[in-house]
Amino acid sequence: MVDYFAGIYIERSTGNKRKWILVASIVANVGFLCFFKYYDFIVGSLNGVVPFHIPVMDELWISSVIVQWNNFINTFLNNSLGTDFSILTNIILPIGLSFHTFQAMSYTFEVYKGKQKAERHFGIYALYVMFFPQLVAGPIERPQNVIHQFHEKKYFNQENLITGARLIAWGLFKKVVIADRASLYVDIVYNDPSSFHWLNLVIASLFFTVQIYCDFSGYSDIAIGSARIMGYDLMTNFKRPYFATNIKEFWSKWHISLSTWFRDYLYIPLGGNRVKYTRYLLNIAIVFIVSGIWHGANWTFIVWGALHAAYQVGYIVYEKYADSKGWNRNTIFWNISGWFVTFGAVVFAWVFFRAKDLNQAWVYIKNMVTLQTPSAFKMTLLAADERSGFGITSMLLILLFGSVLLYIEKYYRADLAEFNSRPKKDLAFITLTVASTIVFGIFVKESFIYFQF
Amino acid sequence: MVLTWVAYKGIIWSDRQYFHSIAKNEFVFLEDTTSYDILLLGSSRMKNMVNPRVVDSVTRLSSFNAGASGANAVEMKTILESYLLRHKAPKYLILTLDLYSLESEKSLQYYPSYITCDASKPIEKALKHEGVHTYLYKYMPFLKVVELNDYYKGIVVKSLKGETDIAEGDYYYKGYVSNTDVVIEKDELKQLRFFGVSDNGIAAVGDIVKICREKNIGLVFTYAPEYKKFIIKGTETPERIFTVYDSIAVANNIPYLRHENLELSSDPKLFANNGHLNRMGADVYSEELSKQLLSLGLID
Repeated sequence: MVDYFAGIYIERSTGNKRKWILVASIVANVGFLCFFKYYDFIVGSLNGVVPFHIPVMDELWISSVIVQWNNFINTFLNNSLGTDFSILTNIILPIGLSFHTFQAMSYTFEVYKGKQKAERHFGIYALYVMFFPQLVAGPIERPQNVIHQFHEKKYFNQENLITGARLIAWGLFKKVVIADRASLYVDIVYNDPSSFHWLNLVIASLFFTVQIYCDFSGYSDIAIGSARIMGYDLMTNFKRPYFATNIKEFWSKWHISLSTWFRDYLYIPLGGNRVKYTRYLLNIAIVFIVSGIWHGANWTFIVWGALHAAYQVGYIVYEKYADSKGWNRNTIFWNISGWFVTFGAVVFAWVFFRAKDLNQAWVYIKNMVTLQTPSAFKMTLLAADERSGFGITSMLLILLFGSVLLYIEKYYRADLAEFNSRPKKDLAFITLTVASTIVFGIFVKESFIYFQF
Repeated sequence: MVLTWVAYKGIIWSDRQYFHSIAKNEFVFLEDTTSYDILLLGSSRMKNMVNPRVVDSVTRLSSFNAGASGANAVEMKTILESYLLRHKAPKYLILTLDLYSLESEKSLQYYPSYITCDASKPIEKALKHEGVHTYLYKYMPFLKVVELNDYYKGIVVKSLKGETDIAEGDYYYKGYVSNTDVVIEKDELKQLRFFGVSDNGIAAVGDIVKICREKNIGLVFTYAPEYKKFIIKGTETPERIFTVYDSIAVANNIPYLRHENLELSSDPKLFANNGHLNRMGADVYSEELSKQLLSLGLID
């Protein structure tokens, strides 16, 4: 609502008034996000330092009002419609909050910049903010890309159906067959990293690297595919990021909708690279640390963001130095070593992303780096009854389907979203992907990792 | 659909060849209609420890061992209800209750073993409770493949090699599976997890008692032999759990045979591990149990 009216008033206003409406809109959005997502984290950290007690979220008057109001509506619906909505005891994070808040903010920014006309139709505006395929985990869209599509009349289209179905099938395969299978191993190791052989820790961190890619890009594929079937085009969110040969390239291919959001609405307003060199490096660092904070109210995400900030700054300094020396970095040696370093750095940073707190991340990395062996190396991690967990079959299947993933993503990734009149190939791809998902999927109640954000 | 159907059929065929429990469940709940005089019911401490061959020869009656690995009282009740749908009520039900029998977190400990038996209503109900979408599988049974984890899928290779989960030298007879000739190490102590007592667990035992009363089945509670004392973790002591069993037995006039202190319980040669007799031990115990049932007049 705030951004809807902000957009209209920004368009009607001139001079400083526009700026103040924009600032008010940013404060409202960020304030809303901070209250739900970061309030307890900030207050919890402050309470450890200040000599007095700052009330946590559940102790606030506004919290009880929100909970009571929510429960009043839920009780009414449950009693009148027979629904089964939960009665809350405390405030919970609204679903997809970080995503749709950023999407709403990008609307206001674009109206302010004059690149998007303010949307008068509230239904269209609401659809833009809450478009269900990408509501919970993106891609974070731009108004110029989608609002005009919501105004167009859509008709059933065979091309959209085929490309959409192909993307959905591939996304589900990545999520259910690969990500959820990898999580069987990852969850066991991360549950108690101090008790595992260093090699198990290495494998778990590699598996998490695969898991988070398949989980998140799988969701993006499903979201883009679902929208495509209805006739809407959403932006590409991943472009084979693990093939990147430097960290800059990685971030141009990973979670593109968020990276470009930060580029357009934080990095460039900070001055981008058109400032002094040190300020330019600082701008880069700020963007990545804020990106870490965006992911969640936990020091692990902040360290993850800070690590990537350090990688980026380090790479930019190195790049400048290499250029000044006239090194030719476009050789096989540089590309391969660049890939190793980039991939290794990304895998290392994911340890912080996955760990439940900094202490666990520290133990994990310490034991991995110092080659600790508190127990023997186990290729498989089975439960005591040996009927669940991660066994030899899981290992073989993940290697098999991991190879399929590499092959498809390397050679056919771009093809997946494009219509190319090859009905037999399409049918074979969709059939095999869906059948493999059903037969080899892990169908426990695993939600998408990025749903928490 | 065809690909999935073929895959499901292949996997389930392999699992049936490999797991005696799947073949046994299909036999008991979907095929067999034999009338048995004695039904032996419990967990693996019944399935692997009471041999119907010995029971039949001592009692001159016909028995069937319906024990299932890891079964708690809720699962035992499901097995009994499902059994009674196809079989005449037995004259006697020997029910082995363990320390974990009153837990009810799971309705079926290893529900994939029952996945092909969802035509039996009590099993369908228990599968539903485990989150299995039985209504969907009625129309698209091949989708049951999603209920089988990698362990059950990986069995295809073992099955093709002709392997089964019955170890070499062991055998299956009327629901009983012998439990190897392994002998427990004398100083092997097992640390067990917390044992809970749930209302559902107590209710399930009560329901079994009620079914037996209605069907005129002579019910006997037993506690199977164990080697050395278990180390119990948690707050629920064995005494508390035994008190629950005792009170149900006394209230319903059910004989309760406690066998943890039988002489054979101190002979390590008869145990494969703390909680399970080996093949020789099972034969010795089966004979002792049968004789006790006869001498106490609990069976005719």
